[in-house]
Amino acid sequence: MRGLAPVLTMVLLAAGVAATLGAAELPKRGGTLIYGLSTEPPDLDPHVNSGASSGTVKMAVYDGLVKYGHGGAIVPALAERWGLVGQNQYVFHLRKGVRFHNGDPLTADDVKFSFDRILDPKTGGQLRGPFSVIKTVEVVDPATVKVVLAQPFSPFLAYLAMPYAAMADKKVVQGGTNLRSTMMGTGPFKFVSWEPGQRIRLVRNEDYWDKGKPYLDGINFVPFVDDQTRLTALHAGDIMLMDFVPQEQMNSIGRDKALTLYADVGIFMCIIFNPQRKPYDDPRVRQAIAYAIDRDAVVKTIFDGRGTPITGDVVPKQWWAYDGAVEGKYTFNVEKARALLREAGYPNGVRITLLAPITYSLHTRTAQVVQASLAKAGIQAQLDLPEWAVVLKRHNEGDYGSEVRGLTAAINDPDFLSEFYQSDRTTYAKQVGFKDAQLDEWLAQARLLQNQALRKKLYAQITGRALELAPWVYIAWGDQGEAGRAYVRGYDHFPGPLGRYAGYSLAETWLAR
Amino acid sequence: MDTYVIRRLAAAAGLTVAVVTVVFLLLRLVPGDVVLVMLGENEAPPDKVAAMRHALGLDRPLVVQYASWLSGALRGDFGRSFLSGRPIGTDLAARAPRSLELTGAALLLGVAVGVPLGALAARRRGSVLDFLAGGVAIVGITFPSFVVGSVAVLLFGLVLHWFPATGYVDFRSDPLGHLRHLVLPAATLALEIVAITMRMTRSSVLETLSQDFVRTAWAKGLGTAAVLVRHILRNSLIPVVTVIGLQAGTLLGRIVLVEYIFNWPGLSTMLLSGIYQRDYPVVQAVVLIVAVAFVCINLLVDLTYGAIDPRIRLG
Amino acid sequence: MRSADLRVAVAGLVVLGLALAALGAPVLAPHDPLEMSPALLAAPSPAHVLGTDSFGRDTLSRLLFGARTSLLIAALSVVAAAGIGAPLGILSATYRGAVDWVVMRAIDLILAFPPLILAIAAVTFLGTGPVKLAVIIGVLYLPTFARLAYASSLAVVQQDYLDAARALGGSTWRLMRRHVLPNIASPLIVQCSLSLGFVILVESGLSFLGLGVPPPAATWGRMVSESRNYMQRMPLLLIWPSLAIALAIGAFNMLGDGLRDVLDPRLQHNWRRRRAVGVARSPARIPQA
Repeated sequence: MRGLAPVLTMVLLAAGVAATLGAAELPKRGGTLIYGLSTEPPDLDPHVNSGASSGTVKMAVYDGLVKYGHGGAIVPALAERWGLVGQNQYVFHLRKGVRFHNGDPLTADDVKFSFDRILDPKTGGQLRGPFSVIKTVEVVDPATVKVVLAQPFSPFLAYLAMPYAAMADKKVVQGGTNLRSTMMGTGPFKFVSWEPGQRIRLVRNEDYWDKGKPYLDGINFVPFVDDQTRLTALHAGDIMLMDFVPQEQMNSIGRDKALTLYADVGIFMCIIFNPQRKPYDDPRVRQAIAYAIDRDAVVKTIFDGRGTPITGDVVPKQWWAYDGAVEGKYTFNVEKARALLREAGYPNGVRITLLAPITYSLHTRTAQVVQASLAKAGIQAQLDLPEWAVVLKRHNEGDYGSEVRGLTAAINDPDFLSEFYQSDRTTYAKQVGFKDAQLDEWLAQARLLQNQALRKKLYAQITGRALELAPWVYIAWGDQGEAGRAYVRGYDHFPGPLGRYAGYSLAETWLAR
Repeated sequence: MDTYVIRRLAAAAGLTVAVVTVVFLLLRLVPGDVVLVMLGENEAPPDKVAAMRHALGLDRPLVVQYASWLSGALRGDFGRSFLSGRPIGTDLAARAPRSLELTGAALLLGVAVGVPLGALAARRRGSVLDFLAGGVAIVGITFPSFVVGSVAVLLFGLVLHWFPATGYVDFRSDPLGHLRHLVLPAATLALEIVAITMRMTRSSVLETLSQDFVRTAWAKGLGTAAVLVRHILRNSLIPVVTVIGLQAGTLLGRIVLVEYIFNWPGLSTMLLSGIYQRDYPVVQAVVLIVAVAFVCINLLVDLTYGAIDPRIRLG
Repeated sequence: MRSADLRVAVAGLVVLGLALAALGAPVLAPHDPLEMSPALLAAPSPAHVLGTDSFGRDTLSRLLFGARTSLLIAALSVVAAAGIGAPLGILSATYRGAVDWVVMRAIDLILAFPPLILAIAAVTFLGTGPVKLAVIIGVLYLPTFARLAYASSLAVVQQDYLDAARALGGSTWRLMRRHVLPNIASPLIVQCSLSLGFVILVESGLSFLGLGVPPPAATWGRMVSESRNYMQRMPLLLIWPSLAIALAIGAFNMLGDGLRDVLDPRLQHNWRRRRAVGVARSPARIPQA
């Protein structure tokens, strides 16, 4: 009888281990994922930003030197390892044996070619601005590339991990293939076909460098024109995963046992001004507007409660660069708003126009809530709601008074603020002539430094000044995310603003059925 | 008769060219730049924009752009989408049949339900059936298709799960699934056709029923069904055919809303995104196809009407 | 009472009711249609008789103001269509020749487009707003009135006694006024009523697609479109504006049909009227959207 006890214990232990292993669920190979996109990708060029939906498709087919992984960390992709030499030289060692989907081996020539293509104005590459700091890209040997920067640039790797820095096949592009309508990459899935309006078909890349992955046999991306239709498709099981879940549906999806919600803070709404027009030229008017927005109402109405008002620093709270000292600066305060307006010479209130694209309900709805709340402070906001193409044009020509924007941090580094405030960037400032020498100086300094503590101090100064000048009035962070059927596993929505790059996790997604 | 036909054909051709020219010009006058759409929200410095415009041929004089596009279109080459670079002809060839299929299915369904319903309602005038049919007619005419479509998606797709709520499946890969996806959008479009066809059939059957030759047939001892089929339907169908011809034309308009709601990958979704994104070649191509189709249908209707009623042929 | 008269009476009452609702909206509406209350997507209650929408705005008030917008645009459109179309038709019939050719070709051009597509394109080109929409939709229905007026006038103009009257020295204007206008008055009235229904259909379709009068203004089509996002949480939001649209379209259609039947006996003796009807119907403005 005594000998039995240890045996029993062993058996029980073994059973326990087996049960745990079973419960941990090993990924199953097989199945085709049907992914519903919020818009039809206008094109499939890996270096161009044609919207986040097309970005997801590109992330399944292309790889860059590095990419974003779990928790938003920057992890090796085509570059096995890399090193920083001095302050401004990066040396990348490429993985051996990687091939493009047509069999062409990946070499340093392809890497150099891809950088050149990104920097070529004809491409319209998203990263041409940030990569303008690159002085040269040298091919050291077929598996090694040296990138020399004109000056130190701490966010370089963060930009490099974006899908717009993907590596393209030099031979194929020089041979005349149009990357806008076909795809040739090294990623987990191979491009098969694109039937516009119907689907983009991808199949597993059997020779993917990350052995054993991907688990899915293939992915069908189905574009939708209408959000409600897409949501219905998810409920009905016509699609298995969808991006850009309408914020007002998130809570009910979260409660639905048949679905999984992958959402995290990811987008913030703000209003930007054209300081060359009246009355937006007076910072007091801009500050008054900041005080006259009921941010709690926006969070409740637009994000169904899934958001946080931005009363101070726009930098996310979890980041090292976040400055808590300015928290609570701009709360909803009608008296203060009116007082500022009086000071600025508008005792009877002021009329403004608010530009927003009617194509996107997030912006249009925010505009309506803002309009209602501004009215309480005597600010009459006239809504101007053309569709997206026109808004883009007018934004680019600086042809607006104030505009509602929904943006995010482009990269995991506070340098994204340069896109907002730096006077020579064409994302905002150049078009409307916003120029503050002090901000320009501090932003440039912060880019050069590597020491985090010093950078943090600079960014605190930048934020403080930007809030005073208020060229941008921040409203609230809100959740953004995807939703899928419960049997979809392995999909990971990276935290915060990096959630847009969740397409990278499609390599590890599998179906539990 | 021949001069009439030739005149109508010539007019139709001239009209098509006029339509396309007008669209071409207006597109270029519209605010909104396709290059900016392609660049999205990001940096759009003037040199990048200029380079891209040049690559697309947008900096050539208008006349040159027009001539080059028109000569291509006449050969069947509709050029490439500005945004994706894909040849438009391929997309048109893929999408046009889908819109046609939806139109055809709606017409077929509408007539197959509307005509018998109308005949029955006329036969049993004043009965419950007649009343119900009248109700259907009212719903079909007064409720816009976007309302009917939304309710259909909710009821049959989400609540009852009888049919897929949205989407499209290729016939070759899954014939049954394809038909299942076709049901709701086609039914939504068909409802108004049912309503109009039913009313027309009903009134023309009623009119015919009261005429002498029918009573003669009855007197001769023919059963009601035989009388109905042989005499009444044949004579009643002429106005019905006309109405159907007219409905086919206007379906091209209503189909925009239905394709939108059901995510049916036809021409209207292509047109809508082309307009929103200022993808000129796409919009021009779709408008050309739709205008040609519409002009042809109107032509057919006019010719048929002219054949039926010689008095009409003033034009 | 004949059934036709009954139809006119009932439809007329409904139309009158809608008109009163539209005109009296500022007074009748219990709330400001733009006012956002904290009660989002609320069910019907004493405070909000038909509930609230996703912004907390009162549905009943928005329906009333939506009536205002829809009926205003519909009225303006029909005035534009009839006011420009009818004279064009009459002039074409009276003067013939080059005038006739130009007008008819322009009309053919308008008719060559499926109407909703033309409206979408026009709004994209020209922008939106109540007046612009009214003009655009008015242009869409112009051909119907032009052809109606043309056919009716043609019948009169061709009669010999008109030549005789002209020979006697009567001016063309006076002839038009005394002979042509009375002839087209009835069909014109009928067509106006029918067109009002079609216009509301087109306008709500445009609103649905986001091309109508922009938010935050209340329009029925947009109310339907917005309600689709909340179909599971508050399906009633879809029902109210749908019923409103159907009621308006139905009432105008019934009124038009009824008027046609009522006025028809007076026209029946004119066999040429049948030809006019034939011409005007091909291709006519049949409801669509």
